[in-house]
Amino acid sequence: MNRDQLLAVLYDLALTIGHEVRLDALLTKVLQRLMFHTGSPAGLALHHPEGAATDYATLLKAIGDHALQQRAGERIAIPAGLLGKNIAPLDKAELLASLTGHDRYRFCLRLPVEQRYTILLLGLAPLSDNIPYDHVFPPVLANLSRAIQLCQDSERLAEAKEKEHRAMQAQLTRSQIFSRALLNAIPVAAFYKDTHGRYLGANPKFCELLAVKEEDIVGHTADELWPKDLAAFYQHSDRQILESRRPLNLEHAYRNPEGEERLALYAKNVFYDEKHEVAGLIGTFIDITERRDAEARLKQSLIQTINALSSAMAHRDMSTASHEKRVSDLAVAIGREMGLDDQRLEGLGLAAMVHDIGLIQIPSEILTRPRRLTVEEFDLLKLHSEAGYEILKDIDLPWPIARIILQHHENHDGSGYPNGVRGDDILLEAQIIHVADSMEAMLSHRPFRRHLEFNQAINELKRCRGVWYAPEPVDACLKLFLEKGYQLPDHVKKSLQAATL
Amino acid sequence: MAMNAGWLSNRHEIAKRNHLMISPVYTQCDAASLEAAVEVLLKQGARALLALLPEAEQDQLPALQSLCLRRGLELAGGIFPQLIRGGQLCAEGCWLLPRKQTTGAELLGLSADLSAETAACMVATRVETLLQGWDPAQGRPTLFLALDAVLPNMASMVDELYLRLADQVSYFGVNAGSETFQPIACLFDQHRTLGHGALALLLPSSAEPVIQHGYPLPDHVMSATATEGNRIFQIDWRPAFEVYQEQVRQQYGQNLNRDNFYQYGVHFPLGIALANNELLVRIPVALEDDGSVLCVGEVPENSLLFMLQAPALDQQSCVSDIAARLPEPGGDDETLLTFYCAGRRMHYGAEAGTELARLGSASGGRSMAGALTLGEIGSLRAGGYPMFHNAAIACALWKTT
Repeated sequence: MNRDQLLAVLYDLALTIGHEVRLDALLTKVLQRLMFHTGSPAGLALHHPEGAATDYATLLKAIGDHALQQRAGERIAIPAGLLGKNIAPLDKAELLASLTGHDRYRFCLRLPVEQRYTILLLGLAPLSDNIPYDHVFPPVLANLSRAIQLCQDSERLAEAKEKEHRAMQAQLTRSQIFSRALLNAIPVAAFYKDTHGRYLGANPKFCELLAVKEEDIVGHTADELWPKDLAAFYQHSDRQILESRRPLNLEHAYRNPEGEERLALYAKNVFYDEKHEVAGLIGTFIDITERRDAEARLKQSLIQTINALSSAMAHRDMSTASHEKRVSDLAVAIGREMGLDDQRLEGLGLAAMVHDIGLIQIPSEILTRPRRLTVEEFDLLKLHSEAGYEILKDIDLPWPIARIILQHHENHDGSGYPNGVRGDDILLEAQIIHVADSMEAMLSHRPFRRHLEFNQAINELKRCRGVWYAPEPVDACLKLFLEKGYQLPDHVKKSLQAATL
Repeated sequence: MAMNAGWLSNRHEIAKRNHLMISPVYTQCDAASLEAAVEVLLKQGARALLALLPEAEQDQLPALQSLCLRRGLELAGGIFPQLIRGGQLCAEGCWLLPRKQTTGAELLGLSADLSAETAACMVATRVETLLQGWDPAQGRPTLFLALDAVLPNMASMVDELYLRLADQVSYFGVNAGSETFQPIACLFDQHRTLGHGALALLLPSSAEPVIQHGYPLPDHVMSATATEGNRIFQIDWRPAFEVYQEQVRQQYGQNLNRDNFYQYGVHFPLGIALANNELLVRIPVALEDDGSVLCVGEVPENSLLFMLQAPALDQQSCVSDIAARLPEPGGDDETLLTFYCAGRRMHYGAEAGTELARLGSASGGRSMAGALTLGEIGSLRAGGYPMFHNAAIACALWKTT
């Protein structure tokens, strides 16, 4: 074999060694190429970590001998004299028979790989004398030793990674099972979608409410499943959430399988993948149609209760009852002028209707006595704010009516009663009722005095602005009377009666 | 594993069991001749036939298949460029090689996109099935493989097959198909005919297959620097055809072009050098548009290539080497099953008949039955590593006593 031939064989073996990263593949390819080049019908790779002077080894790989192939991975007995530190052709038929269990092989080429591994190429005839063993194999075997080490390291790393991956996979599976069980257990409809709005899944409650099967919605988008207007709403809110990455709660109508329009409360939020990137959104919704109706009924019933209290007052003292109606009208007008929303105006009106409910505990003779009250009587009268609070404080209303009543005689400068609170510590509704109550009182007869002239009342209001009364309600009240021609409700009726007489 | 232990090692004992083979019969392929031949074979107890048909007789195959189906005979075989009969080549008739038992033959298609590993795994699985039905008393069987010559990865398939089957069998194989290398359905059983496939059947241990090519190792060395499967893109870092053309001109004074490529390729094949100084021959059969050269059988990248000049008949020892590996004739009823590479025939021309005659004579005057082939499988040494070869002669014994 000349130099060129030798280099080509070395190059072929080196390439084979360099290509593999798994030990089994490495040994298979190396044995195959060695057998190809030497014509050997069988090749073995042995591992003997305790060195060449050993009587056993692990058979890592066998090619060409079917019986030995079946024993790959096993610890096998090694007859003395077969292993050694040097590359050597061996004429040891009896040793090979002892190793293989049959007498087919008569010769072998021993290729030790750094004392811990040995490759044996077995043959029926001596291997060619022309093979320059000392030139071909030492560099190949040195490379092979390093490649085996690299493969083992790589496999250990791969095994550790695989183990970690399996553990993560198991944990993920457990989490998925738990999440699914949780989704299935909650009595709220739940669904989740990918970032393109395609449903990834839904729980049984969702399927029950919308009469769909999960497999029929998975992979589909809202516009493929729901009516156009509903789909557009869903997609819009989905986009909002995906862009803002903030949770969203909203109420929206939906149509149940029977075609009824129902109200649902939606809660949606994004979820993230393992790279902490948004992977989609998860949403829940609950049908609040019954709750909304119940709330409306409750509210109605409370309003009726308050109206009933007001009527009771009317039966006891007609003038107080009509005062409360007028105060309520003016208070709502002031509140509207100040920009309060409808829901708050409703509470304000109700509070004003019963702001003097505490007078029910005051003897009616005091209320109707046609003279100025004594100090003791006035002190008694001042208790009506707390009395009203006591009457209403335990009724669960959507507005703080009891506290409004408690504070409706508190002055802006803290000089009022019963607690002397001041400024913004006084509820806005109480500030408004205080102004409306005073304005109505000044414009009305009382058993012990005549009403003030309109201008006098206006001046009094201006005078006490920022002292007794908060400035904003006063300004709104003045605007109503002076610019918008507001009149108290029965003032219109009285004006008409006077004109007739 | 248990099978090895059960094999009989005593040749005499094994020979006694070879009565299952019947002497091969050559017959014309017309219906009457086939009918008559099958009738005779049935009377001799034949139950299975290995048939070799020349390419020119491929149209007669359906008649043979239908005859075998009708008469309950198991059929397996291949279509080859020509037949070998009595040391001569012939393009007509067919060989019927009968057996008294139906050991089963496995015919399977191997789609073009299969890797060598997958294809070999499919073949090995079928062979394992055949081995399960093999009587250990018949010794270690010889696996006879016929592969379609258009398969691109036969050398790798043989490597992979050996990885799986190891020494459970001896290896003996050929490539069937058309000498034009145009795809034809060249493998068959009694039911179907297919191309791009493999046929596997087991022959008794007494087949004792031998393969040789007799090409000497020349001095000039090149390296296949870029290859893929059976295609050589570059030799010595230059376009393969350019180098090949140059070498043929320099060494042999011949001018190669696309038109005469195969004609010269058979005379100047490439050789892959092994560390043990043996050679694997690869005949270039086609030239691709990009200047790459297509061979029958793979050329591993960075293989050491030699430009071979096929030796003169008198200067090579192929026949004598084969004869030396064959056992002494054991009686009149031994036929030398002979497969002779079509490329080798092309190189030797009329001398191929001479070489065949010498083989017949050197092998103890055994009668000869066989075919021209497009590739051969076996070990150059007794009991050696099996490989895929070109330009070789592959022989085995068909023993009836």
